[in-house]
This record gives sequence, structure tokens and C-alpha cells, in this order.
Amino acid sequence: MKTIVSDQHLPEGEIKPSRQAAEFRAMLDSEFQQFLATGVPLAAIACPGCGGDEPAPAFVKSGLSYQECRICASVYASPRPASPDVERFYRTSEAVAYWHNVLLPDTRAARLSKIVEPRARWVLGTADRYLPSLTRILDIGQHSGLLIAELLQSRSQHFNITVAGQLADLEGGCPDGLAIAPTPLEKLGELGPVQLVLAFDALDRAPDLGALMRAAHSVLEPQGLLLAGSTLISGFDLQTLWDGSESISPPERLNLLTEKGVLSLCERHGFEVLEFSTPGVFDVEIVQRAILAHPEEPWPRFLRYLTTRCEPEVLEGFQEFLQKYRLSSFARLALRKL
Amino acid sequence: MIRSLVIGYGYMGEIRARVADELDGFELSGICDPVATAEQTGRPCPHFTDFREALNEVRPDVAFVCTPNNLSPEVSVLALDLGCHVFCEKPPGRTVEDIERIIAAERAHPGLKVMFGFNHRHHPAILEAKSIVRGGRLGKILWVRGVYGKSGGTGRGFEQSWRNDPSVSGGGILLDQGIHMLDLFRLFCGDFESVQGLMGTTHWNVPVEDNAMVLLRSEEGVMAQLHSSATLWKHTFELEIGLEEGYMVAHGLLSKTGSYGRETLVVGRRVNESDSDRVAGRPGEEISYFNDDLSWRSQVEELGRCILENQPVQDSSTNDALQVMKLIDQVYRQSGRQLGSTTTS
Repeated sequence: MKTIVSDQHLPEGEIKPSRQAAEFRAMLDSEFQQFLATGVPLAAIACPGCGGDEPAPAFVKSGLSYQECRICASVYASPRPASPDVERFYRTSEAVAYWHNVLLPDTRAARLSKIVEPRARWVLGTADRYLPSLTRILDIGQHSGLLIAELLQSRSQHFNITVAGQLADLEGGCPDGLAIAPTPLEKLGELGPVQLVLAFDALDRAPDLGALMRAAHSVLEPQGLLLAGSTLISGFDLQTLWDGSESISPPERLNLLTEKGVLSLCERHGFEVLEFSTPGVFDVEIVQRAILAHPEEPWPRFLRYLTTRCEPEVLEGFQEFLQKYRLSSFARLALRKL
Repeated sequence: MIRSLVIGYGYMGEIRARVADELDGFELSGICDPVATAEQTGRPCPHFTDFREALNEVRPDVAFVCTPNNLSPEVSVLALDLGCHVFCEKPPGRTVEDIERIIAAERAHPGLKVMFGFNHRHHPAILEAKSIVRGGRLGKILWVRGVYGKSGGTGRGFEQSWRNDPSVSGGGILLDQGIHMLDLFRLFCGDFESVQGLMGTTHWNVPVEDNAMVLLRSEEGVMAQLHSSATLWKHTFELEIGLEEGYMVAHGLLSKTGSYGRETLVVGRRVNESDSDRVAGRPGEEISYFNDDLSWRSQVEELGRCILENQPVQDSSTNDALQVMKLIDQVYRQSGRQLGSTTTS
């Protein structure tokens, strides 16, 4: 297993302008609370990471209860709505439409150069390393249109991509002419076998994470790869801000695993971890912004000193430290089907 | 099942015995060492003190030759003559003539496989770097630069080691350790047509070199530079590769003691013109940290594959061993020394 550290400089505001991001979160919070108020059925679940059933109440966000697993310290929404209900929410949400129609287009250039291009390089580099004869890719991620366009443009070998994310038809960004076939997880196996599954922004959002992992496993050839990105609760900003974190906005973050939770998840579903990195770059900036915005809060003295008194290069160094020890809140995973 | 005999149970022999014992498809059928007993090794297979007797008694499929350099050619040739495949530690003897003897035996037994222990090729940072080069996304290699060395320790243990007795080892630090880096240079750059080297005994009271500096140019025009040393204050492995669109630095080695530091690969890429935060000379970097050293296993697995599928050995082959020994031999000659000898030529 390897871990990657990146020194990329990227202020969060470049991809999430603060005014628009706040507007999006407010809309989503309001809509989701209304959605829950309709009496949508909720079901309790075991920890989506380790599978343990020893929950302790963590917090409530947008009306949804989150539990902290006493075994692996992952945090997850439980009870939670089922997949069809969550999909229905996404399809009718004005907040989600705002994200696609306003926020994404306004930040397209920054996302392309700072997120999509490096991610495409990573996907292609990983494929070079482990899948030298790659011909078929299946994407089940969210917001992956730009990534797919970049992959098709950058490819040095010929491969086909099938876009099967359940909301792919909503999101746009895919090159014209590319077939988009939103597919329920239980039918994903019919699209295989493929050598590579992409699942960015999918693990933390999946109402049924186990079903997603089983579907990815079933559609992959032996030794095939699952590449994914996800938010981790073990990351610095989420541990510091906890329920005050703006990153936790249901139904977008239902599964917030720790490193231990991720490793357990992979083992339980028959995947070998080739790479587990947390190359996130926003943790320190997010905490700094929260401390500056709410100086009256009882922040730990060290964090207040670090974020308000130290030079920028110290903060950059601290962010690199978080990456090196997998303590940033954005995780990148390369998994191989066993 | 590939039946294996480990000949020589020192540092490397212990590793090979463990791999042969644990690896699917392999079976440890015997150990031969002049001093190591079954009680000491803790392994239940037959033990021998004479390699001729061991080879004749066990008749293994593969002989792992982990002996000091002066014995490697004789043991390897005998194993081949008895119909065994051979996995021989590096260096493949003390001189170019030694590896030529092994090659002659290999040619006399065309069905048998011979592989050498250039395991650094299988370290994760090197595998990753090779994959990046093969993918072509950083362009062609322009140059490589390597530093590989150790401190030699604080006592007289280093000076008294058989590795510094030319009648046993054939040479000093360049032959013992620098050979790995030269092998990696060849892995990335191909064969070298030009070699310029200097070596010296700068500090230790040994009759072989404790430092060597080597400059090379490949047939493709790639330049390479090696510093092989037994007088570094800190154990160091660093391989830097400059390419058209970026660079890579493999640093540290996953090892039993961890004394070379955590194995990493830094990959830097050309600054994107749209990235105004970057200035020339400060490209974006990614550092990969590796946790698992599978080099011992994967190299032996590759040998097993060659045996079972009757495929030629392409990796760490006799030709690889010959070419790298020729490079070292040239450096020795340019320095007025001779491999396998304490005297200057």
C-alpha cells in the first residue's frame, strides 16, 4: 500500500466561492429538512465501514441523526432514507440544480486545472501501472463529467467509458455522443466485466455503501481496479469542527469513515488496498476560516495560534503533515479486486 | 511444486529461505551452510555443510546461490550442470570472467533458467517510476543521478568483513552495493556506451575501494552519474531521474532495519502555464510513501513463472549481470585497479 502527498496550492474559494457555497448549503439544508418532514421512511444501519453495530450518538445535521461507531470511529447517518428516496430527493432538489447550473459552471476553469486534470493524471497513471491493457471503464461516481472528458482527451491507449452513475443524466459535462446510462446498483453487474470502476464522490454519498461495494466487485474482472475519492471523518477539519463542518450536508455525506473504517470496508468486500492517500488541501484553511469567523468560540489554544499567528508556509507544512499521515479529510483510494 | 535448495545461509540466504518457504508453488527442500545448523535456522528441511553433497542429495529444481562472491560461479555452474535452475545473488562473482563462466554453463543447458538478485528493480518506488516512464507522460529520460552508500559503521566490523577482502569479494563498495544502482541505470536508460570512473580508498583501512564516482552515457545519449560510498554518515539510497516533462526522485529503501529511510517516490511535473501560483523552479510535486517491500517475493515469483511457462529470463538475466560487471570492470581499469585483485594493474 502506498500514500501520496501533494503540495498543490488551491484555496477552497476557487472551487467553492463562499457566497454561492453558502447559498447552496442553505438551500440544501432547508430542502432536506422538508424532505424528512414528509415522513420518508428511515432505517437504522450498522456501521458502513467496519460493519459493527455499536453506535453512539454523534450529532444531528439537517434533521438527520449521525452515529459514531465505537469500533472504528466512523460517523454515519442512521437511521437514514433508502436509496430510491434519496435519488428522488436529488432529482427534485433545487439546491442540486443550483449546484449544477450555477456553482459548477462558475468554477469550471479552476476545477478543471486544480482537480480534474490531476485526478485524470492519477487515474491514467494508476492504469499504466496496474492495467496495461485497459479497454473498459465504468464510472459510477458523481460530478464526473469533466473527469470523463479529460480522460478521453488524455488517453494514450484506446478504452471505452460507460457512464452509469445513478444521477449521471442530471449532471452534464460529459462529451457529446457519450452514452449515459444511469443504472441501479443491483443491475450494474450486467454492464461488466470491466477492468476499472471510477467512483469519485460516491462512497460518502451512498445510501447503501455495502451494495455499492458489492456492485463494483461484481462488475470488475479479476484483478480489476476500483478508484474512488471520499470524505473522511478522521480528517483534521472534520475532527476539529465536527457537526459545525460545512462539509457535512446530508444527503451528501451519509458515510464519513475513518482510516480504520475504510480499511475494514475494503477487506470485508474483497478488495486489496493498493493506495490509500489523503491528498486533501483544504483542512487547515477550513479550520482557519472557522476560527477567524468565530473568534469567540473556545478553540484549542494551539489551533488558534497555528491558524492566526503562523506564517503561510507553516500552514502549508502542517497540511502536508496531515497528508503524509492520512489525516486530511479527503481520501483517494486505489483498490484491487481480490 | 518447485523444490528449492538455499546454499549459503547468511543475511541473504535467510531471506531466500523464508521466501522459498512461504511462496505458493515453492518448497524449501534443503539448506547448505558451513556453520548454520537446523537448530539455528529453525527450519525443518535437511541441512548440509558441503554444497556438492547438498546439490547431489537434494537435486532441487532451483538452487538459490547465496554464497560469498568467490564461490558463486562455481556453485552456480555445478548446479546448472546437475540440471538445476539457478537464482544467484549479486554480484555474479568477482570478475567479468566469472559471469562469463556462468553464461557458458547456461548456454550448455538451454532449458535451465538463471536469474540474479537485482531485487532493487522490484522495489515499489522503482516499479512506480518505471511505470511512469513506460506510460510516457513525463517524456523521455534526459539524465539519471544516483547515490547509494552506507556509513560503514563505527567499529572494525566493516574493515574485517569478507566484503572487503578482494580474494573473496573481488572488490569494494562499487561491486557490492553500487552494482545495484548501475543495474537500475541500465533498467531505465539501456546500455551505456561510454563510462568514466574514479575510485579511491579514502578512509577505511581496506584493500578495496570505499568510494567510487562514475559518469556514463547511454547509447540513446542519456547521461548518468553514480556516487557509491562506504563513507556516508547516513545510509542513503537516492535515484533521481530527469525527464522532458518532469522529474522523479526515489529515496530510501524498505528494508529489514529501515536504516535507509522510508521508501518514497517524488514526482514533479512541468508547471502548468495556467497555474500562476507556481514560479519556475518550483513545480508541483507528489510524494508517494510505500509500506510494503514485495521485492524479494516478486522476483522469485518471476523466476517461478519463467520455469513453469518455460519463458526466457528477461529480468535480472545473465546478460544484465554481464553488462553491469563490464561497467564495473571498466571503472576498475580506469582507476588502475583490477577486479578480484589487491594489486593495481
